[in-house]
Amino acid sequence: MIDRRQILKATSLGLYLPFFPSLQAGGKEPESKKRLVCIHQTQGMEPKGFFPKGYGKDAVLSPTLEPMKPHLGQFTVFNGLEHNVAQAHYAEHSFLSGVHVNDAKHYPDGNITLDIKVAETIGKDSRFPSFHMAFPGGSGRYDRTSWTRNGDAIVMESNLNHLFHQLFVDPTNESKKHHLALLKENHSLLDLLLTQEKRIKNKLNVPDKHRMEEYLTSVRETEKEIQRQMMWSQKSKPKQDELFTGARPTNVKELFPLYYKLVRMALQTSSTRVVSLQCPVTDNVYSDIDGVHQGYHLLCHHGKSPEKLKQLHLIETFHMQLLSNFLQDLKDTSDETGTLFDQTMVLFGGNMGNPSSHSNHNVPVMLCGDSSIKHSLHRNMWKHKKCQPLCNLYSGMLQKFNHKEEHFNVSTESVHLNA
Amino acid sequence: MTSYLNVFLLTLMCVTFTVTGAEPVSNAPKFVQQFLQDYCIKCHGPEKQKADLRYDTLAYDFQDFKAASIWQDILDQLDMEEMPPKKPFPSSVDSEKIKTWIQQKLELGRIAVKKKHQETKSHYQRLKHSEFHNTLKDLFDFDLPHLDHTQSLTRDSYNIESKDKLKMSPTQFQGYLKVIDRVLDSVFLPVEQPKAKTWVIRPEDMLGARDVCVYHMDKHGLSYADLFGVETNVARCWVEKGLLGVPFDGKYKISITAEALYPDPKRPAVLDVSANSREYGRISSENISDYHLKNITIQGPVKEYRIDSVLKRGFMPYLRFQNGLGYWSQKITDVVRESHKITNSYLTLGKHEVARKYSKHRRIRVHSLKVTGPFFDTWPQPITHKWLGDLKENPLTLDRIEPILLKFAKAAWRRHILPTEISDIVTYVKNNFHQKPLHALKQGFKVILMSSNHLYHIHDHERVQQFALAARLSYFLWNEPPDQELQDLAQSGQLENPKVYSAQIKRLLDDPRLLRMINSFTTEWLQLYRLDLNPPDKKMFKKFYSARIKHLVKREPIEFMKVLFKENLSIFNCLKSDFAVVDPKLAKFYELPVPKSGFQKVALQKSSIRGGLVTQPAIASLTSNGQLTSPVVRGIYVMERILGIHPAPPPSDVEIPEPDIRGAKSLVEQLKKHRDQETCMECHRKIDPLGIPLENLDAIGQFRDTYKPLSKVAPSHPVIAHATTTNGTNIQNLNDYTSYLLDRKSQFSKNLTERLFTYSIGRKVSYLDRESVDEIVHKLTNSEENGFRDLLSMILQSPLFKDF
Repeated sequence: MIDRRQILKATSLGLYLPFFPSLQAGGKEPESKKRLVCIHQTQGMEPKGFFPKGYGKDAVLSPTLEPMKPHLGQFTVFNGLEHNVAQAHYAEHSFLSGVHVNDAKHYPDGNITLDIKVAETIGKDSRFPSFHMAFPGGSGRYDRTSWTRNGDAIVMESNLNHLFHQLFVDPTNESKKHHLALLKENHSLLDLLLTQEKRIKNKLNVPDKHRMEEYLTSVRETEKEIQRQMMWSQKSKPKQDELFTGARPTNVKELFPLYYKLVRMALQTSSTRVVSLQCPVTDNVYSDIDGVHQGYHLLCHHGKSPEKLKQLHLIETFHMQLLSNFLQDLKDTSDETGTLFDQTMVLFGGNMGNPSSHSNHNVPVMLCGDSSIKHSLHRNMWKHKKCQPLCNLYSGMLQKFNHKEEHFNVSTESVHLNA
Repeated sequence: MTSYLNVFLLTLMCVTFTVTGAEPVSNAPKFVQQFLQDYCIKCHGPEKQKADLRYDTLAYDFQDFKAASIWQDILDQLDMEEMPPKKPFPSSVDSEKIKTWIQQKLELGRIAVKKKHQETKSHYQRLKHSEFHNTLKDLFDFDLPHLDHTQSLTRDSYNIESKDKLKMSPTQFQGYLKVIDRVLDSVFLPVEQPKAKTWVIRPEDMLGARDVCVYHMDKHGLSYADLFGVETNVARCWVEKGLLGVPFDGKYKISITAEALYPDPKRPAVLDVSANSREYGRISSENISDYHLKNITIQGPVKEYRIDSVLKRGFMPYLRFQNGLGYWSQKITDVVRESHKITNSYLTLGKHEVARKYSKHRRIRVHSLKVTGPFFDTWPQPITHKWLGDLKENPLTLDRIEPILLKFAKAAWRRHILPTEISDIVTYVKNNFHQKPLHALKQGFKVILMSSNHLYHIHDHERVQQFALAARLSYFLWNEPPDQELQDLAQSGQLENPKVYSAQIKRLLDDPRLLRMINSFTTEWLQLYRLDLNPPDKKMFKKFYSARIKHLVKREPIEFMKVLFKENLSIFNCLKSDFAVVDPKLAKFYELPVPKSGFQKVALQKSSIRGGLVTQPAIASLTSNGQLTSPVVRGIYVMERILGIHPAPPPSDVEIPEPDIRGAKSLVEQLKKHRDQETCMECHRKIDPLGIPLENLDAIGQFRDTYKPLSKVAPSHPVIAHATTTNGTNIQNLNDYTSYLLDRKSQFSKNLTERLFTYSIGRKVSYLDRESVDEIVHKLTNSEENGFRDLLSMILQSPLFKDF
């Protein structure tokens, strides 16, 4: 921990001191570090195959969830949650926020997503306040998982090499020096810019002033971000073995587990405490899975055809197997305060209740891990034959992260999660 | 608590909007209420709200944006005789009466609202990404290929599609900062010419060596990389370890030591040398910042090959086996495993080691790659000279700071400026001047570029109206800041003179730079960027790839619009035309007469399926998923992009059938079933007939009358492509289809006009702007003046464009 202190002294950024829990603890037992992983299955899950039968003690594992068997009692499937955003595919992006991007301006936090909200508090002492990745699938960008309070969609990076480099490979000393000098320069220039531009603002009419404020806020936020980068650019990244040797696998069965492995490595090294992972949306990703020979989107709109449902279930079971293996990996990895599994909340789900009918009702949501949560296989969330806002669950999760606010976006209450 | 209250208030607002608005519709004149009651309320009332519209609670308020937009929609539907859909139809007298009434009310409302609007609208508009890039290009006179790559900026389209104005956000601003830093680093070169330096890139330093190539360190510490394959993401090595690429733009000497192993005398091995910058993304066919340097033929034993090339700062060369084996790793390891029965070593060694050790397949073995430079023809570079002059003859001094910054700010902010406006920046530069004069000046440039004056269009009334008009003209038509002539006219206040203005329009339209506008407008309008999202399947459409027409297909619609403009041909050619605009390769693919070179007009036979925009392969392809096509997707595309009608998104909780070309049911049968459901019927009776006739075109726009089965055993089904439209027109084939589109001239003209307006003024066109739009649509549909160039002139002369 000493190197952190030294760095802080050297850069005189005392501002960040309070956010280091290890420093605060002052020699006492190390505090456990809660973490969050959100896996966004944009197209949802076929509901009949996904939801277990019966609730509480009588609940029976569903066919799709079969791979999750080793973790029984350590995860919960929620039945009866939804966002009030029913716009089929155009609602996918609101899975972690409950707010459609077009309505964002009506909410105090915009359409901020759960991962970003959590990262705003627990992310401050990590190199990456939150880390965003996407499984590869098709070309072109498709960023629909994480949104900032300013309504920006965060880029979901899918290049494994790039992700690995971001986390674990240090730039050379020369480029480090160059980078730091640039950051310092920009920091003082933004100061100058703000003085310059504030003078303009005073002369403007009301609507122009509003536009100008948007600009000035962007400049101020950039200034803060640069301060953050200045601190981290002087600290070495943790070293990790390469994800794979030889050629990068192209088969999804070999390739996808590497993404989960990277998530675990990122959490284990405290490079970040919040990770979001977006599942593929394009058509021709899953042809490596035995028995799947049609496009994914086509299969989602199965129209109850048994042939298509069979293939869709193969894809969904494949994802459950990945998740199950990931949870096992978390169980097998420990830091000074226990296993990662016990300290990590893993949320899995999407905003499609039934992709075949473009339904956004009763969406699939599953919460795993975190030993302080009381799990039961299948939890009934219906109230008076109506679904509760999914944000109620998020609000409950936020409270576990010591958030003081009573509500998250459109929540009406908080789901109780404690044991 | 506050957030909860906000949400509550918001819900309250939403609920009360329709119920208590200003005045309920029951306060409207009796005949209006009667009309709505007789013909509309049944489907848009308390019982049903088709298309989410309800007229019994509609506000009787023509100054409210939402309500007035609905009244405008009612008027349009009656005008087009789209509504009511079934008997009883209103008498023409009744219909005229109510239409006149709505028209008058809307007119009065518009006048009142516009007045209010003038007082409350913002004059600030963020530059679009393409405008931002072109402005930088214009300022610094040279082409930065990587600037086209918007990776560091958030996507504009998100903002446009959410109907918000172009937004500024921290992420956005950080993107700007990154690009600006990059550009200034290239421009501000040191006073003394940098000395040439050599970088040696060893095979193990090539990232590709770990990723895809095969390398080996032999006893003497020497190593090599074997290249087998050609794939864009496979047989490439690229420079990683610590190298940020070359430090300056300039000429470099590249030396490659390589040999060809197991050569094929018929096909000498070709090594493709290209450049990539890690900063602008990985090496891939989609990374347009990558650029090609040279192809070298590799023959015989180890030899040194040299090339001279221009490298941009941050770029490094990478190598690729241009005519190597496709899907190499699988093919080679399969062969090796077969012949050597070495399953064990395969397991322990991995595919690449197996290929390197056991394969006898032809390959290029690279031993080293050296880069030396930079070399310059002249010093200082012309671009530095433009802003700073010759620094050797005329070194930077304190009193040169202000004039240099003033000159630059005037160009970057695109208007006349007063020295006081940049006094802070000048002071800052002067204070930092003594340590590093050039560096201090560069910081001044940076602040000027980060300023809102540079990043925004400012359509300000009192101060710079003429400058704003000049900028609007120039950004719309040339996609770059106004040139000296426009600036001078703005400065002297003459641009508003109608004669001068018309002359300028002519000058701008005659300039070849106008083609840029046609390029980016057509791409945006027809969503041509979607072509890269779901490219045609490589196995299914081998012919498409062997003909090498992928990039030409994307250009075809653009070239078509260019011809319409150059020859001022009717815009209705977009719907149906007796010619196609093709180049030799495309013409061969379509089996048309082959033009000599480049894109040219080629006459079509009457029976041809080509002609117009909608049947072009670009459209057929971007509305498919690369393999399969969907009449629903295509129907919606034609409605939105060509006719300008926006169907409501599908209601949730409806089972959606998708075309299943090997299932038992035919597609048309499935869709019919779909239409039988009432919730679906409302929109699909309009969408499907516009999509079904296009089923005759496969995912690469070739004619088909049976569906190609996905597997060999599946039966093939005939294509059923006839449909009946909402107004009863029978469409039997593609020819009928384009004729039907040609009948809907006014809808098309309105759509194209509105889209051009949106593109030119940077905001959505609303019912408030209908006067300007309708005037142009009337001219287009009722006179001979309907050429594409005519339309552009009308837009430029319209008060909507001129007065903003």
